[in-house]
Amino acid sequence: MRPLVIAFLLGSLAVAITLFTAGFVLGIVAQNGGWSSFRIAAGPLVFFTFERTSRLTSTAFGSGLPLAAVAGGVLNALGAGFLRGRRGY
Amino acid sequence: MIEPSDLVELAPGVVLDDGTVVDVVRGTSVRANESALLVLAHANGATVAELGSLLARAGAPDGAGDARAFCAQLNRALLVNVRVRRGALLRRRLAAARYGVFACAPLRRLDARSLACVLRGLAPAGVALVLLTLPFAILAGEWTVAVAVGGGVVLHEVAHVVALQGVPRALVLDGLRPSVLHPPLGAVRTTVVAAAGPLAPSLAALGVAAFARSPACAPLAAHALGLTVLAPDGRNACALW
Repeated sequence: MRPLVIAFLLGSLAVAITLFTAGFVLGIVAQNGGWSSFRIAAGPLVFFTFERTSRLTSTAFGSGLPLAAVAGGVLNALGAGFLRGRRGY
Repeated sequence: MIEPSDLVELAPGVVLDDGTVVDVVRGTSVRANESALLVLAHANGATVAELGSLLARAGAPDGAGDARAFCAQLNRALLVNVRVRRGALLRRRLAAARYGVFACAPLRRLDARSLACVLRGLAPAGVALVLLTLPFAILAGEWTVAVAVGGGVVLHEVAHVVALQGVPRALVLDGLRPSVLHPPLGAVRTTVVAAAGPLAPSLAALGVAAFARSPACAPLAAHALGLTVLAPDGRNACALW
């Protein structure tokens, strides 16, 4: 059980850090490139929002980010379970 | 790729003790046969050709060939370092490339007892990675990305070494792929040591993104994927070795 819990936690952390940094980079590129406002969402789940007004730009992360991190953790735990099963633990 | 002119020496942390090869870092000792002892006892800067002559004098039918094969095997087992002159390595790589073969440099095991030793050992790999990625980074208009690629790899291994404080360890260089060798550890320590490497550059990425607002955080953040079971560090952290 312990390896699966560790795999879940580390997988969640990995996905959270990756998405968070990707969002930041996207925000920097959008700001420097003069992009207009946009958002990345899957239905009601918003992952990332970039807004440009006449005076400032803002980058925001939505509730989709923690959910994606949990999904990443579950996938990593499933992968760990698969590897454990294949190696006969 | 090992040639007769290469120099052979015992790797740091490997000692011969009364007919036994002791690896202080891995905490193992193996009884060696006479040929192995002959080669290892003279692996103190002798060339492969000289070791071949020794084996031939001891009765080996093909001393030079045996010495080459034996040194290659001991190098793969991280028991001896084989020093190739820089020019010679490049020449061999070019010669092998003509036949479509990629010639790998011998593995190098370095002393990692102090942080200074580790940084000195990692510096060439870090600089090489920076130089390799620099043209692409300059083309993209973000030269700091190249620095982050090399710096990230150095930070990754340094974090492993710091997490191994108080444990015998050695740095292993496989071309541009460094790794850290250490004895088996307890479950919790294994998880901490394995996760520390990918975690350090990942957290640095968050810092760079938040405070410097530079795309250099992207290659640093890529280390976070090392926490998953897709990478050896992630599998080690979950005790899936």
